[in-house]
Amino acid sequence: MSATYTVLDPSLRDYAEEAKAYFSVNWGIPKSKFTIEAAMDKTVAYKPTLHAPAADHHVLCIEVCQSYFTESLNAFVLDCKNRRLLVKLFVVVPSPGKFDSEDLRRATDNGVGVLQLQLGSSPVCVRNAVSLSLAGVTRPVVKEFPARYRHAVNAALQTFLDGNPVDGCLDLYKQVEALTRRLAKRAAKQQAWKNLGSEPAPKLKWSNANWANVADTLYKRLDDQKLNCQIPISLLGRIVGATDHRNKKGHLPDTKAQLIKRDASCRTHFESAAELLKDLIAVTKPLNL
Amino acid sequence: MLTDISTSERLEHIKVELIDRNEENPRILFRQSEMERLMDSIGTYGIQVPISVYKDGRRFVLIDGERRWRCATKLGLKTLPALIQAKPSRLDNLLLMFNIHALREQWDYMTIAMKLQPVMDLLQHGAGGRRPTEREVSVRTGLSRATIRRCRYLLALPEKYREVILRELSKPKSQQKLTEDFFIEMERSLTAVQKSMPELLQDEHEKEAIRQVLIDKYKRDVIPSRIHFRKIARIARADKVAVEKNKAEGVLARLFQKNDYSIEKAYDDSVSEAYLERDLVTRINSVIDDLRAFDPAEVDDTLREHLKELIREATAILEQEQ
Repeated sequence: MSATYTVLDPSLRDYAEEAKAYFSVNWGIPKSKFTIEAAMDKTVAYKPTLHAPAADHHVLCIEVCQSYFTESLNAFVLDCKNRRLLVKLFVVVPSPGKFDSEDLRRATDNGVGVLQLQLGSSPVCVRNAVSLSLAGVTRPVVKEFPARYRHAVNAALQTFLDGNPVDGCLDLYKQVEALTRRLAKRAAKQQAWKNLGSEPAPKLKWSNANWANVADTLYKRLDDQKLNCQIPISLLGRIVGATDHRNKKGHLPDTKAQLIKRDASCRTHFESAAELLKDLIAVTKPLNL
Repeated sequence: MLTDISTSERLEHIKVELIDRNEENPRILFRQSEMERLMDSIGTYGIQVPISVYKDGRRFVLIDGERRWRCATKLGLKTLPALIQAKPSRLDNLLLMFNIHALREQWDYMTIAMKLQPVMDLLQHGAGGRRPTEREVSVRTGLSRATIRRCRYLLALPEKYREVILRELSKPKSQQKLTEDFFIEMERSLTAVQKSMPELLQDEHEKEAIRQVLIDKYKRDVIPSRIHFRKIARIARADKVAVEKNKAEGVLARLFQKNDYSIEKAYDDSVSEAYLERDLVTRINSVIDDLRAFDPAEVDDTLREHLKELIREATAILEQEQ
């Protein structure tokens, strides 16, 4: 066992070493790359029990303690989120230990991974860690969505937090797209188009035409008075903007800098997409689409 | 009384990285849950009470405040408020910490015991080889004599049991089984047996075999409480209550074998009635003394009824005996 632990209680040092071995095997990080009780970033003072660079450009941080979540960890997580650091944090808790459901909930809500460890046995991964650069995303309040949308919103969030932020955004955009198409079909059925002189009424195949075209048509031609439903033009403009983002899936980031930039962009898009979906559902509610 | 310790201290903010833990600090066990709570508090409110250190070259050594220092290190604090004292001698270093901590908080006996040994050795050395008395150690360390006696029991344990205790101490209290108190009670009882019935416990080898049996019975709840060990001493002193020594030796010999024979059973099979009788006699004598001092004119109806009841019960027992 390493003799360089200063702060960690001696009774937990074996757990730290077993955790190191577990992550070394499962994450492919050489044991020599783990740093003990040192700051993992010059802007964050807190010293996790262990930290090491991971292959996905993140820093793996391991905190060995008796509680699933503490106020000190909360401050550390907040610091990482506010600084958009590429950190994945695991709390390693000796098993059997005192189970606190509230602490566990706080850990998972904050994207912190939880590993239960009994010396000499295989650890149990209760929850995987989420990149703290993504975990800081503003989460949609599921209750603010009608019941039929809640599963989709939750699933999109989970996809986002599981390290697939682009796919998480796309999942939300799909919901916006589907609702947009239903709106367009209703408008077509009720001939709710602005009269532009000689220009004929739009005749797109609303189900499978290019979404950007559908959105653009609604933005330019929809006459909400004929629908008996107020739909702000600004909202239709936001949908047009969303079509542009939806199409930009992009490549997987190669560098840490690219990853940071992508995560920041995805956070913004996800939050915008969730707000857009919520607003669109609200304004189209009278139409019962 | 501590000697050569300067009472002048100065308060400074010193760099955390320049501070070393004090190797003589008896409080070597910090339960992680307590540390986590302290860390949360320091993270929120900062360090409210300065630590105490002495200067050693360019670095500082802790006298008081190791937990605060560990938390500050973890939280990445740059400096700590510290009262800086003059460097003490090794003995004064130890005594200083005993006196600081003994007055403030309840320590684990094991950790006190481990540091008490060097204190006693140093005091003996300072006294020209004369072993310090319990009273002298108590005065110098601030520990009570009862605590010192308990520590001596623990120091007399084989090394492996001291390690067991240390491991147990790192667990939350509710999960601790083989505690210091358990070993102290067990050793006390075995000392009483050794004193009163030396034939049962002739050497350290036999004592160790008996320990293992008793530990096993305690783990299996054949001995459900460490308080029961006090009854072993009562059995060993069977002659005090006029019970035949052979009988007491027999139950103890059976108790010290691998089986499911409990201390309660051993006590009931040997001396329980005798002690009950003795205790009853003591209480009866006490009542008689009180009655003799009582003014008959002050007897009220309630007392009269109870005295009649007492006479009825005593008469019934005596008539039954006849």
